[in-house]
Formats: sequence, structure tokens, C-alpha cells
Amino acid sequence: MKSLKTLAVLIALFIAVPLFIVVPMSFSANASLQFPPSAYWWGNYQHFFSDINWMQPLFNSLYIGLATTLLTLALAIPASFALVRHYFIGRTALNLLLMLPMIVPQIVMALGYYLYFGRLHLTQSFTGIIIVHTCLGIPVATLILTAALRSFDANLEHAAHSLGAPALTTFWLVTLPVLRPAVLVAGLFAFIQSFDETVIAVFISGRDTATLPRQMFNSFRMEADPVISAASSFLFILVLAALLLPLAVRLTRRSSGSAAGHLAR
Amino acid sequence: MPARSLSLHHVVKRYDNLQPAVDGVSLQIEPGEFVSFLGPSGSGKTTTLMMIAGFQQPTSGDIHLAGRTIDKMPAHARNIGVVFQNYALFPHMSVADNVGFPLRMRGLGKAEKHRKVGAALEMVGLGALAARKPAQLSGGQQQRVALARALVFEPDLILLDEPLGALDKNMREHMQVELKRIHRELGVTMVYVTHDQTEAMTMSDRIAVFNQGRIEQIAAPQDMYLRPATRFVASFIGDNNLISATALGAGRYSVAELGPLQACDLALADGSPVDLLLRPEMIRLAGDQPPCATLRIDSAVNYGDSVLAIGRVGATPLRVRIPGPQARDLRAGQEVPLHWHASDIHVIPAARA
Ligand SMILES: Nc1ncnc2c1ncn2[C@@H]1O[C@H](COP(=O)(O)OP(=O)(O)O)[C@@H](O)[C@H]1O
Ligand SMILES: [Mg+2]
Repeated sequence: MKSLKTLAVLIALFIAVPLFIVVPMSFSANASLQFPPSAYWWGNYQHFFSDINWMQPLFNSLYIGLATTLLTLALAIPASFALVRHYFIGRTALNLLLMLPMIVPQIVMALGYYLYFGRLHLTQSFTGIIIVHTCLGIPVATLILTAALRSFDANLEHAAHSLGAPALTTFWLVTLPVLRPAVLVAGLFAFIQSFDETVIAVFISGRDTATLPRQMFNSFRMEADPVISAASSFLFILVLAALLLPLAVRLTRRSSGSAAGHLAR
Repeated sequence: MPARSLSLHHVVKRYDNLQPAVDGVSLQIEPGEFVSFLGPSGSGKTTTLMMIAGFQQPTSGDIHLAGRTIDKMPAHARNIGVVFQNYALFPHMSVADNVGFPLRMRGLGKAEKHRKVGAALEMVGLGALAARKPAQLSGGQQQRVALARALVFEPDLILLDEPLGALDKNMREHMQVELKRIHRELGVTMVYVTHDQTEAMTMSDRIAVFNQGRIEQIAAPQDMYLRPATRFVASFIGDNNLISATALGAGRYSVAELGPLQACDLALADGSPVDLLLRPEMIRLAGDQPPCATLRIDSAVNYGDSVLAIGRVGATPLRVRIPGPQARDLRAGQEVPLHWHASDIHVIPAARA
């Protein structure tokens, strides 16, 4: 048991090592990427937040991420209901098809989209990237939502009907709220994978629609600007915050909930 | 609360092409009655209830509530309260919002809603817990909330599907009493599903015994106990001795290796196969009365207030329950003379195979 714990800590450290390099480096005062830095300052962050060449991709990424999240949920929620609640011919095939983006190597997808979207005039457009990121987000979102739906107690809907709620009212007042944690997690994963995605963005996003990872990639290739480490750290902190958000919400809710419980007792 | 009648006419439910889950159920429930559906797991009780509630459509047959057919009516328009075994409380709503839900669906004003929710929670003894979430309640408390939610909108009928099945024994007995009190106070028609025969016996005005999608018998608990219509009902309710026999005419029945037995005359044709039901507690030690049979005891189980002697008369197995002090000396290996009255034997015509 103890050795297992040690192992877990070692693995966590191993995974975290790049952070121990990138985060200190983001405070580096050196003009080039060099580790360990010889002096520290805030300049990289000031630069990052005041340079339109960094801010534009950041806002592009946020915009694309949010749009991807909404589109992914709008498609994955009905798809999950169909897969779990209904039997139809080709259900297994549809399920496999939805999982495909998870299996096909991203570079292959990127190449495919690059050739295909060129004809549709979707390269270098927000629409194109949002569609691609939605395709990438759907497998995980569907996995999360179908799992939640399978464990959903159909008697909750029966109860709502018996109490006078028609089908649509039941969906909005009972089904969706009960599934909310799964919807939030699915949305979160869709957002994060869009926010992180680099390979396909490099292929199909243009100058005006560049995402933050694409800009980092370009900057790294062209000039090895130390601002890139500030951008990386910021990207990391944003994703971390997004991941910890549900946990924090649950913790505060539980503690306030048990407080209410104590009061009532 | 209004009390309504409920009737089912030849209701059939087929889920697939195999044996139907419900196979031609007909029954008539009077306004204000408390009727239990009793039967083993898989006998079609829940399916019948789901069709009454409108969650399932019958394959054929029809259902009338207060004399009007409800077959075409969707579940949300039926005005029937349902209590589920797993409570089915809305986890994201407080107790008050759960109980207020049916009133909200009916567009009641805030003040009236508040008053009715309060009264319903008072009725189930949970007035102080209105602000809690279901997860913060014990199983028994959750079941009370479910009950309050099912009765707050003055339904025409309340259906309960094994509502106490998940509770421990003490809580279950407590809730049985509570449920009966609420039934008395409201006078509402209730249909109660259970697989626990004691629960059905103690709570119901009438019991419908389900077996393989059919109702074997519907009768008041005492009638059902004394005069079960089929071997299945006799074996499902209460401890029993069921002895296969053949009618000899004039109230005499021959039992293999036991000789003729006297019981009531059903005017059956000579040679008809029957089952004789003799309840263990109807049998006494013979004392100075003429013995009807002699029991060789294989084992004696002492319950404190009585002893259950399990043994054989000839080759026929027999269970005998002897109350009081005279039973204390019964031991395995003893042979004891037994006595019973001919009228204590209930004769069930055996179904022809
Ligand atoms: N949704 C369903 N689909 C298919 N078969 C079902 C379904 N619900 C119940 N059954 C079958 O119908 C029969 C009766 O079930 P049920 O009404 O739940 O019995 P009970 O409540 O008496 O235990 C069982 O054989 C069960 O397997
Ligand atoms: Mg059942």
C-alpha cells in the first residue's frame, strides 16, 4: 500500500516536471529560452498581456472553445439519448462512428480536413476550426453523457409524469438538472480539448483565426521568444482552473449543505 | 380527499413474444379501499401498476378510473399519485420543492402552495425538514417525503410499489402503521404492491394474489387465509400443510398411506383430485380426545411462545404448531397423537394438469 502511494507520487512528479521548468522560466529575465534563468521578473507576462499578437490568439481560442463547447453539447446530448433510450437499426455502427475521432491519429485528421476544407472554403475560418474541434470533442462528451444516462433512474421521469409534468417539462425540470454534473463535465472536456488542440489548428487556422497553441508553436519555431513560457504557464493555469472548478463547487456545496443539515438538526 | 373506484378489464401486457408479463387481469376496486397486490417477484405486480399509472400501455384490455376509461389519457393527466420503492425524489430539489412540484404543475399560487406543502409534510411528520435536500434524509424520511409528494395534490388514487421494501424491519413496521393512519384519515383509494405476505395481511382491506401475470384470488385477508382458492395461494400465505388427496364422496377424502380423512363436502365427483389444507396451528395434541393421526417428530423448533414440530404421519410430511406450556416437552424422535376437527381442513379442488 505504502509503496503504491510512493509510486503514485513519483508518477505525478514525472508528469509535472515540464511545469517545474516552464513556470519558473516564464519569470525569466533572459532574452532567450535558457534554464535555469539567471534573473527573474514579470516582464514576460506584461509583454504577453499587452501584445496584440498574443491577445488576439487568446481571444480566438476562448471564442472557439466556447462555441465548440456549445455545439458539442447540442449534438452529444440528443445523440446520447438516442443511443441509450432507443433501439434502431445501425445503433452500434453510429456509436462506433461517433468514437472515430478518438481513434484516428490527429495528423491524419488534420491532413484530411486541410484537403477537404480547402474546397469548402472553410480553412482559415472560425467555422472550420469550430467544426473540427466539435468532431474531436464529441467522443468524450458522448462517453460521459451515455454513462450518466445509463445510470439515470427512469422512475424520476415516471414520478414527474405522475405529478402532472408533460414530457418536455419533465426534461427541463428533472432530467436535465439531474444530468447537469455530467453535462458540465462533458462541456468542460470539450472546451479544454479545443483550447489545447494544436495539430489541426496549425494546419487549418489562418493568421486572423490563429489559436493560442498555434501562435505558441509559431513563436517557438521562429524566434524562441521567452514570452512563450508566460503563454504556456497562462494556458496551463487556465486549464487547471477549469478542471478544478467542478471540484471546488462540489466542496463548497457539500460544506454549506452539511451546515444547513446541522442547523436543521 | 375524493375516493374513486378503479377497475381493470382483461388487461394484458406483452413486452416481447414470450410469456406475457400481465396475462388477463380483471379486478374491481371500490372507492376508499386499500388493496394489496401480493405475489412473488416477476409475477406482474409492477407492470400492472405501471399500466394503471400510465407509464406503460396495455397490449389489450382497458382500465377505468371513477367509471371513465383512462386508456388514452397520458400519465401526467391522470391525477394518480405514485410512490416508488427507491423513492424517486428529485435530488436537485429541496424537500419542500419536491412536495410542491405537483402543485407547481397545477399552477397554484405561492401562498396556497406553501400552505398545502406544509400540511402534507405535517401529515407525514416532517414539518421541520422542508429545507433539506433528499440526500440529507434517512431512508424512512425520504419515503415520507415521497408519500407527501404523492398525496399533496389530492390524487384520485395512490399507487405504492413496494414502498417499504428498502427499509429495515423496525422502520418498516412503523411506516405500515403510519400508512394505514394516513389511509384512514384521507379515505383515498390505495393500491399497494408487496411481496411480503405479513404486510399484505395486516394492512389490506383486500388482497389480490398474483402469480405468473394472473390474479389467483382476490379476497379479504382472513378469507384468503382460511379459504384459499388455489394451492398457490394456500402455500403463499401463512404456514401450511398441503396434502394431495382424492375425493371419495360425502366429505371423505383418501390420502395415500394415511387412509381416509373427513373434511367438508364440496360435492366433487368421486375420484376428483384435491389438495387438503390443514394449517399447522389448527392441529392440537390429542389429549383425551380420539386421535386423528400419530406424528413422528423429526425436529422441534422452539419459538418461546410455541413449538413448531416437523415430522411425518406415515409417509406424509406434517407441520404442527403447538402453543403454550404443553409444547415444551416435544422432542425429535417422539411419537405424539394429534387431533383436529374435520371443519379445520380446507379442501381445494386441484387444477387438472
Ligand atoms: N421493461 C420490461 N421489458 C421487458 N420485460 C419486462 C419489463 N418489465 C418487466 N418485465 C418482465 O415482466 C415480468 C413481470 O415483471 P414485474 O411486473 O416487474 O413483476 P413484479 O413487480 O411482480 O416483480 C417479469 O418476467 C419481467 O422480467
Ligand atoms: Mg415489482
